[in-house]
Order: sequence, then C-alpha cells, then structure tokens
Amino acid sequence: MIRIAIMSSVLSLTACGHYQYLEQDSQSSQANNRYSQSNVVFTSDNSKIKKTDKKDTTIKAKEALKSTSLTQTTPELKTTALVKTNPIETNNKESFWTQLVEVFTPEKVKPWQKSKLAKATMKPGGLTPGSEKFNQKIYASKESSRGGLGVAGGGCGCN
Amino acid sequence: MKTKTSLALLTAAASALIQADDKISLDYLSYQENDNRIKVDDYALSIEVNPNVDHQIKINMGLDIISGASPAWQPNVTLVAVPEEAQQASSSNIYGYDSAGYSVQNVSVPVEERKSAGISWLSRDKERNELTLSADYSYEPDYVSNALAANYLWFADRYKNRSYTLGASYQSNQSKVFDATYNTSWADLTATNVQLGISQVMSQRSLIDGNVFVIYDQGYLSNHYQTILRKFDGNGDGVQESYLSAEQRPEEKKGYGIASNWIVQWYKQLSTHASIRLYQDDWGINSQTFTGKSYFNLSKDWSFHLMARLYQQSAANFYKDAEEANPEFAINGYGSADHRLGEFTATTVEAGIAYEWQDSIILSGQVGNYQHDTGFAANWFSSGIIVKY
Repeated sequence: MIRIAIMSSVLSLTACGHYQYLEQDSQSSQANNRYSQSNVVFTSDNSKIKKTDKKDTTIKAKEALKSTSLTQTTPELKTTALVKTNPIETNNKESFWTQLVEVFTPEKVKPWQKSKLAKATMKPGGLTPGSEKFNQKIYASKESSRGGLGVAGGGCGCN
Repeated sequence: MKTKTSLALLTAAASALIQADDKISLDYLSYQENDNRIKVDDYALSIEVNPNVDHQIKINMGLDIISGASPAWQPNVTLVAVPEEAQQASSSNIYGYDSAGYSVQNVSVPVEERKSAGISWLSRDKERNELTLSADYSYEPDYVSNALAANYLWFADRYKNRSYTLGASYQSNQSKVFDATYNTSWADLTATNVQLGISQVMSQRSLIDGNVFVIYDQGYLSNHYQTILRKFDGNGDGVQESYLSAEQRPEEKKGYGIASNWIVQWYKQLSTHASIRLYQDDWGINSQTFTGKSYFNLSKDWSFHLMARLYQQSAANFYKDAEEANPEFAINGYGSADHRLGEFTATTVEAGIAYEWQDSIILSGQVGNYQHDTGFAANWFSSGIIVKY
C-alpha cells in the first residue's frame, strides 16, 4: 500500500506540475495577447508614453516577458516595463491542445537566462549521478532490454 | 545600442566559458534480493578534472562484491550419464539425467569480485561542440569486458538551445563457459550500440531530449549458469526422458528503440524528470519503461527526491517458465528458463535525501525497492559524497 501511495504521489506530482505549467503558460499567453493588442509602452519612469505601431509593441512585450533579467541589466530594456492600459477581452478558454502545443513550442532562451537549467537537478543524472548509475546497473542485471541512455560505459557479466 | 551589445556579448561569453568545478565522488551501494539470493556491495570512485574550459577528464573505478545464490533447474537427487545419442542430438551441452526429476533450486555462487576502471576525455571546439571519447575495462573471474565509445555533440543554433548527438560504442567481451563435463573455456561476444539524439531547451526552466538507438550483440549470449530441460527418447523405449541441459540463446541479437526525457523546474522548490523508453528486439522482447522523479528543495542546503519507475517486458520467443505445465524444450533449438527473459512487470520506488554544504560538498543517501510481479524483489541502500574543489 505504501508502495502504491508513493508511486501515485510521484506520478500525481508530475501530472499536477504539468497542469500548473499549462496554467502558467496559458496566463503568459493571455498576457502576450493583451499586450499585443495594446499600442502603448511606458518607459521605466512612467513619465513618457510612446505611441508605437502594434507590431513593434508586440515584439517588445514578448521580449520583456521572456527577458526579465535583462530589464535589470541593460539600459534600453529598462524601458519595456508594461502596464495594462486598455485590456481587450480574449478567449480565456483555450483548448487543451492549443495549450499543449504552446508548452512544446521552444522559446529562444539566451545564454544568460539558463541559470535554472544549469542546476544539478536539471541534469539527466540529477543531483546524485552516482546513485543513478547504481540504479541502471540493477535494471541491466534484471531486465532484458538496454539502450537509450548514452553510449559510454563498460559491460558486465551480470546478465 | 553599442553599450547593450557589448554587455550582452560579455555576458554571453562569460556564461559560455565558466569553468566547471573539479570533483571527486565516492558512492556505495548495498543491494539484497529476497529469498537470500544475490547480495552485492558496490563501491564507485569518480574523479573529474577540468584543466581548462575546453577539456574535461573523468576517471572511474569500481569494485563489486557479489555473493549469494541464483535459481536454476537442478536434479532432485543426482545426475547420471546420458546416452551418446542424446548428447549428439542436442544443440547444447547435456549435463545428465535424473530419474527422480528436477526442480528449480537456488544454486550458490562463489563470492565474486568485479573490478572496473574507465576513463573519458571531453574536448570542446571553438563553437563549444563536444567530442567525448571513453574507454572502459572490467574483470570478473568469469567475465572480461573491454569497451570503447565516442560521442559527438553539436549545437544547432547560436544560443545553443538545440543540440544533436551521435554516439557509438563497441564492447569486446569474454565469458567463461562450461562444456558437458563442466570443463571451462572462454567464449567471445561483442556488443555494439549506436545512438542519435536531440536536445531542445524549451524555456528557461524546461528542456526535452530524445534519441533513437540500435544495438547489435553477437557471439556467446547465453548464460552459462542457466539450465533447461530437454526431452528425448534416449533409450529407444518410445518414451521421452527429460535431460538437464545448458540453456541456449541465439548468437545474435538486434534491437532498437526510442527514449525521451522531459525535465522541468516547476517552482524554485520542485523539479521533475519524466522519461519514457520503448524497446524491441528480434528475440521477441518488447519493453516499455516509464520513469518519474521529483526533486524537492527543502531549504538552501537540503533536498529530497522521490522516484517511481514502471517497466513492462514481453517474453523472448524461446523462453519457457519453470512453472509451466510443460517446461521442457525439444532436444535441439534455442531455449531458456531465465526469468529475466520472461514476461513481467517491474516497479521501482526510491526515496533519497541530499545535503549540500557551502556549494562544495554533497552528501546523499537513498533507499529503493524493486519488484517483479512474478515474486522477485530486491531492496537497496546507497550513499555518496561529492567533493568539489
């Protein structure tokens, strides 16, 4: 029973996380939609309002949403803080498939935005690659399929 | 504009050329199967050195101490010599005949040590594409393995969000085998693996990789400890007797499959890995593997992980379970009663905890449980230390 509970928990977490991811992505998408409809951009001190064409604003808005770290470091991008001025209602009920396609649509992530991806827990071997190797050794000695985990490593007479 | 460009280039250059820490890790595994079967104590030492940003050298050493027993068909009383006709008709070694019948028993294996060593060298070119070459060697009293592998990773875009990998490995192994009178000799086998992969950064907190792979094994692929029963009318009385024989597997195996892994950091405190692998080979084995792993950052120093894995496998087309009504094979042809070639579902659960001290030392401990739906089970405990310097 404990075993089933643990397995269910891990799988539920993944599913729950996936749902959260879709929700966040949906919100982000809606934000993009709203901003893309707006043709107003505030500067960092909110003192000036520039009238820009719709296409230009959309690009800047997306850039701002993706590059929050840049807004703190590069002078020009400080001006892309956005304020919702005249929101236009969009379709809030995007289909699951639309959201799924958006989740699996790669973003252009710049090198300085990869700090989260550089963490050990984001590597295939995880935080403790040594224990992962032990696990793979156990599976190799008790199961009859192999492959898909890279090509390096030696053989063993355990099977 | 100029300021922005310069700053961006500087940041990009800095992020691309950060030199990895050198590290030493030591891991220990204590593995125990149920019914007092196999017990393994495994020690692994790994050293990673980064002389500069373009090169990385890894050295691995391992020691496994294996003891216990393994199940196989055995005579109920004792074996007597078999008729010459049966020996000649059989395509594998016939060990003998027991008029009292046979049963599956745990056969003790002598305490055995497996020593292994490996080295890999990674080099990066100006575009940061990576070439990794590795060599591995291992020795057991009844098995020797030599392996060479090469892997090339190249980036497909200037931000290095997509990369492709092409890797190949070749193992030249030797296994000790018995003849009909238990005299031993060495038999050769080779194992080739080719893998083509793609990795894609999906966002600042998500990436996906996938690969296709093919394997090709050739040579003595049987397990010399595994036995089967073969039926043959050795004395010409019109009734077929059962003889204890060595198992016999094909001398060639071709397999292929696909695998994919999706890694996401949902929140600062939670990251998950979800992976799938589908496999098929010409022995008739199809398998599906689903794995989910979650890392929870409890605090700056402490983290916890849970892992669940589901594995399903179909039986090889020359496998017969010992529990079957007619477990005997014909006098010649392939045959195996090794349950690892049978149909089963395996589940794994693991929980682990890690403590990171001042970004320089990581201490970890894991406990795991592995079960087949056929009744086999194993538990393990592992611990490790990683020191960065």
